[in-house]
Amino acid sequence: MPDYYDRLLHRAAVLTAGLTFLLIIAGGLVTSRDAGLAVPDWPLSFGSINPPHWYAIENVRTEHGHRLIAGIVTLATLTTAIIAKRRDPRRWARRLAAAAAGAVLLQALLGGIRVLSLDIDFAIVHGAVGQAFFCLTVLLAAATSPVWADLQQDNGRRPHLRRWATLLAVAVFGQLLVGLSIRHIVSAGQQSLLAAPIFYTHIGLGLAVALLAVLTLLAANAEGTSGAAARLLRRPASAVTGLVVVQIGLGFATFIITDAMTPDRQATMLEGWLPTLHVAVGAAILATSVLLSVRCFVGGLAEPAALANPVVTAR
Amino acid sequence: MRKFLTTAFCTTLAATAVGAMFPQSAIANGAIAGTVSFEGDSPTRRPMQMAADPVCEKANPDGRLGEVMVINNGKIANVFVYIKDGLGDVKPAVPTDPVVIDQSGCMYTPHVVGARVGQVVQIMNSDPTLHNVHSLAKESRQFNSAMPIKGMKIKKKFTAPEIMVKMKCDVHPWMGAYIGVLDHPYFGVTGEDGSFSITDVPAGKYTVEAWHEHLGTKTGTATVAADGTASVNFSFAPAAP
Repeated sequence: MPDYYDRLLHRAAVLTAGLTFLLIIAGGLVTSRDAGLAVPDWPLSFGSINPPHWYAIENVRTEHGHRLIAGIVTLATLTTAIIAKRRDPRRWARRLAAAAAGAVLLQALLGGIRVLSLDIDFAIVHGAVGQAFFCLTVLLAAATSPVWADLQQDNGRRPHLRRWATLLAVAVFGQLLVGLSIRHIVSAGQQSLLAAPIFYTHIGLGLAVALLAVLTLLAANAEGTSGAAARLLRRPASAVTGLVVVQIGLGFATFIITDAMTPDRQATMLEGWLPTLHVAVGAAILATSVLLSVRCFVGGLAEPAALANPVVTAR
Repeated sequence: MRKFLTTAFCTTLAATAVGAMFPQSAIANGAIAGTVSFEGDSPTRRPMQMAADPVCEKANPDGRLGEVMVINNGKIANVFVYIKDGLGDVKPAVPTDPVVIDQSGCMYTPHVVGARVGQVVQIMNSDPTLHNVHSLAKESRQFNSAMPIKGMKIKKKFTAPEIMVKMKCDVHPWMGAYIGVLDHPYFGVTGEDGSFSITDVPAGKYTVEAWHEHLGTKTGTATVAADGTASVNFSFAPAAP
């Protein structure tokens, strides 16, 4: 596999991933404010691409803003896929970009089905696919980065790190699914979360994720402390561990702030943003753990000589 | 013999005609009445926060109190009381008049109401702002309709009995209403004084249920005599935290 780096493609992929993270925050805010059905039609909003005064009412602003950002992300993803198709010689990379394009269209469709069907199950599916799509965009950004080729040149097998990183990614995704169920189903009722068994599953999985993050970090540290290994394996492992600590704190704060919420009033700023931040950090943990896991499997790490002089294509 | 047969025929014809003119509900004069009380100190009604929509805030310059727990002198308003069991096949005709729910001052009026299966429920928007009417029915088809224009009306029907159908506005999350959908007309909603009355009830023994959105349900029995009023009172304890 030849070394390959295309600055334009990489920048497009990074931009897409960044916008997608913003979209996840916007989507989280929609759920936190219970604004998902404030605009009852789809794909248009009140029969218009951009209805007048949409920003005047909070829940309409939240839902329509989410749609506008989603439109921008769709354009960015499709543009990245087109650039990849035209310029990236790696078939798998072109397929990855095409998969991201397909995923963003599927995600838009799921959002529409959720609005039109009024079925809350689709809200959970929409949230889960959104997280998976974000992982795809992060992987695409990583795959188009100048260090990707260096990963492929290394022969390190790293069985322990592969195992823990993969288990971590799977556990985080499972945790996200449980969290989505809590947000969309349990929180919609008036009962305390303490009465919902799934809440304890969420706590249990959270502890499992924390343990796996530590084991992953230990395994990553065992790979060495200097050179490219530090940059490409230890850093994401350290980042995940740090984010998990932050996430546990956010989860606790979210429970304290929102458990007393009743569905008969507008969420306060804290009630809206705190659970949204919890979702956003969860997305960051998932994407980082998936990235780490994939990096483990791509190969190993070469000495950073190639980093200094990557093959640059700037057509 | 001929005279007897003629008399019998005319009597039967007259009885049938009277029966058709006055169905069972119309000739039943019984009633069930009572009050719904709250055990313990009355909770303070929480003021609604409507800053999310300037129109709603402007429509309520002096603020507006929530309607979930409306308790005056120990009596609970907005409790839906209905005959749950004992009616048998008594199902008077569905009224042609619609049940009207208004969206006014960014609140639903009334907050709790009853409707018959198949009866038209007319929802109005008296506010100069956007509302959406989102039914969370489980037994009937759900709907979510935008009502962006003041004066707008939509008509909906529920196809199956359900206690209770929640209706909400996703634009203004504080707006919620409940509709008790029944296949008979024997229901009532408590007023500010906690009293209710169910009229035109046929004589019989019934199970009566009281439903409150936060406090749950209570069940009682009522024996209604022809032209009599049976008294049934309910008492709710504070909901568990």
